Amino acid sequence: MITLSKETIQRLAVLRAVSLWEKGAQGPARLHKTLFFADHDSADQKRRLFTFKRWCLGQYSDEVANALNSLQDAGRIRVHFDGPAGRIDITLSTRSSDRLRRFFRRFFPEWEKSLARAFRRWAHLNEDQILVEAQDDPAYRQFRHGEIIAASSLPKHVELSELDDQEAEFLADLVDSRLAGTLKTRLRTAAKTHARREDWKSIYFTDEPAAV
Amino acid sequence: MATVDSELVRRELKALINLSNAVKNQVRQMFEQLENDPSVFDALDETDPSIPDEFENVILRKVYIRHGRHDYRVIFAHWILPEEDHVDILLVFPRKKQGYSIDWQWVSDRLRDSGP
Repeated sequence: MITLSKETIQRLAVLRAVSLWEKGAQGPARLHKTLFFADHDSADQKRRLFTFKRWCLGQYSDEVANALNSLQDAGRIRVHFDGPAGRIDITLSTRSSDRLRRFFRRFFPEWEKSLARAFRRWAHLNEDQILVEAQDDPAYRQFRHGEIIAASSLPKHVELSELDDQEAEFLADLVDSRLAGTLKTRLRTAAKTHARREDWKSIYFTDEPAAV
Repeated sequence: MATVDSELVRRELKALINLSNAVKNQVRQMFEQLENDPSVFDALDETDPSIPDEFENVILRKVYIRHGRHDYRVIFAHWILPEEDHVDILLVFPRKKQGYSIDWQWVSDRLRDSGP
């Protein structure tokens, strides 16, 4: 049985959401709101992806924030400061974006539909409108500052019985926060060394009998 | 043909070949194939776009080393050079059974291992 961790799915979901903005999401606040309402209005409430609390600018999720940091470390998102709010966009090939979209359509279809609706509602509001409308929501008003509005229903590892192992590997590695940095560091080390041929047989296989 | 350098991952590969004879044979076959033609191995699905910006003529590729419960990957840099290609093995790691993510603890543990 193939499983993906809750953190992997959350990172993929944030990446999926950011990918909807063609020119990047203006500021994290609208991203949090879009993801909150994707969960809130999804027909499948057994698959709420994130835990949200009432915070200074409305519905906020530590998990979304953690996912953004991990995606930045993974090299999957970049933040550009070319306006009043940091603009978040993705660095992903079209092919990988399509695979990401197909993954959510297949395994989280109701969330994917709800995300599309939430995006249409929130994506291009200005900051004032976002704050007013988000705080106007009953799901927000009935809670105090810091209180959890809605909790994620994902287990630590999510079973995805029809996901094949190659796809699972692609998805997990896509959002791994250490892989890109480790590969770059080691590439830089390797690039400094002149290409040389090592005698790998004597390094690794010296205990084997010599060929006659 | 290609030259091969595994200096960055000696400890990890030595740990791998100690797992079982079947794994050891796969590692040997990997080295032979890397010398013959590293392009038979698949390129990584999605590479950080800053890598081709910074490094010319390099493709990152992946090798699967699997037998029974052992499930490892080897990632290498395939340098396309005018006279003879070159391979630098960059990373070796197991996949976790649960969650299918990279077991970075195993990688860190190998870096701490001492010995020949």
